[in-house]
Amino acid sequence: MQNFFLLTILFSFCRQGICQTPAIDTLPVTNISITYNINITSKNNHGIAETYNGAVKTLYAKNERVKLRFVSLMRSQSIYYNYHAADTNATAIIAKESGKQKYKFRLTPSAWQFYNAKYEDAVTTFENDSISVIGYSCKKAIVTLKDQTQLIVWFFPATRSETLIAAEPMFAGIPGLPMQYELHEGKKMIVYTAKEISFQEIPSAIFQAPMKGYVTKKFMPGKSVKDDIEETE
Amino acid sequence: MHQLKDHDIQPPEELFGLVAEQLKINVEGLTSDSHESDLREFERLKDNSVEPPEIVTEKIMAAVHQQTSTITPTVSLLKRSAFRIAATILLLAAVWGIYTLVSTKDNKSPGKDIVTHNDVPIQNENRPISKDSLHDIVIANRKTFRASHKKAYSRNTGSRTHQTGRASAEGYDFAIKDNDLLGSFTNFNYRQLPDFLNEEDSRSIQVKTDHSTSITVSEGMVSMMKKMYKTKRNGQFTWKAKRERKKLLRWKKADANFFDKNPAKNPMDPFDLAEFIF
Repeated sequence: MQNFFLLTILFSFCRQGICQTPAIDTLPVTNISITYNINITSKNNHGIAETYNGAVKTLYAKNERVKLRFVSLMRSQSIYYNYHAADTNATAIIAKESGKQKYKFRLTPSAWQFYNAKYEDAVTTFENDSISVIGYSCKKAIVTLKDQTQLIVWFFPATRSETLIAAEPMFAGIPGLPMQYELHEGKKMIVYTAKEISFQEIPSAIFQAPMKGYVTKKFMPGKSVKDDIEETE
Repeated sequence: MHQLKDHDIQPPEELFGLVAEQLKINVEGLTSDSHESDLREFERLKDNSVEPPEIVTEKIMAAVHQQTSTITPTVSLLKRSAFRIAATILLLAAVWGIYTLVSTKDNKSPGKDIVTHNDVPIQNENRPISKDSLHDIVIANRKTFRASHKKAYSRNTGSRTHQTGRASAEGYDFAIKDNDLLGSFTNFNYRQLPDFLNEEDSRSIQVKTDHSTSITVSEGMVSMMKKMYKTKRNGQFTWKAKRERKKLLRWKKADANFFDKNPAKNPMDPFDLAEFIF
């Protein structure tokens, strides 16, 4: 009888995810990598959305550097962010890494701010709900933009570094690590779900922006490519 | 008998004197007046000549003429042979030249009409759309399709270098050019399609790339790819296949228009992506 009682208590703890949740409250600043699957539900499965459905987004963070990599059928693209870049003209580098004509943009701090302008006035609210994502017990938050579009974020409560916060301003108001986030438009939705998280050593080469074979373009906030002055390295 | 060869008997001494006297050899001196007169007589003889008989001369001359007459036919034969050889060489050269011309014409095959990755010209940067590899998806006509299938449907030929990686999908290994997964999926060799494009039912598949990244190709996308490879009995693409390829090309252009022309738009941002695809 006693054994049964102990087992019941143990089972209830596990149900709450305590047994499964890794014991961390502060995310390491040295090495973090998270891979998200991107699932898209559109009105039909024969549209252009299918070329992005099943894509993968990977975040690599090491000290003051972050790399965000996006790979889909349609295109591959990366953002190389350096929180304390020695060269202020390269706070962030956006590189299109697929197709015949690959290019990259160098962003200054002000350009980076412009790039993420829609999140400046974003409001983050919290709800009493939770789910488990790859063993991490996650709480619910809602990021609402100025135009009232919303993003549901399931996050694992933990302290993030300033580098991580600056690299993804979308989650600036989230007190933890986003493990899943969703955008809904009626029946249509885009869901980013973490499928793998690692704290293993990340090679520094991962954070090296591509050099050869890429046309360097000048980022002119508010202007299209036509107006950009093309630079070559 | 072998020992006898070394045996000798000296003649009597008195005999030696008698022989010397007979030969008129002066034991005390080699030269003598009589010897010199004999030499002078012999010297006169050397100027003495005797004409050979005429018949001998004639026979000799005839023999000489016969030799020269045999030599003349050999020379002409060699000359004629040389002319023949030269003529043969000229003829062969002419045939080779004609053959080369004809074969060069044939090599300008209709298959070249298929715009491969290597044939796309460099265009204005303001029109990045036409440079994307999906522009290579040509609605192949009968001629071009057959020409392209004469040799392996090569995606990596030519002198221009392209970044080529590898990927695998359901055990099928294939090359990725320019990191363009979509373009690579639409340029498989028709005769060597992966199994998932030949199956009756469509299902999502996993694709692993060089960078240890694994993406998912949705069921809807696999279904579309199958349609793109449908052909008629004559090997020509069906009109549905052509329609799907055209649609894919439009999508590629739309993607470039939205993200390449507007660098502030981020495809990994859910808001920007939703704005584009919904």
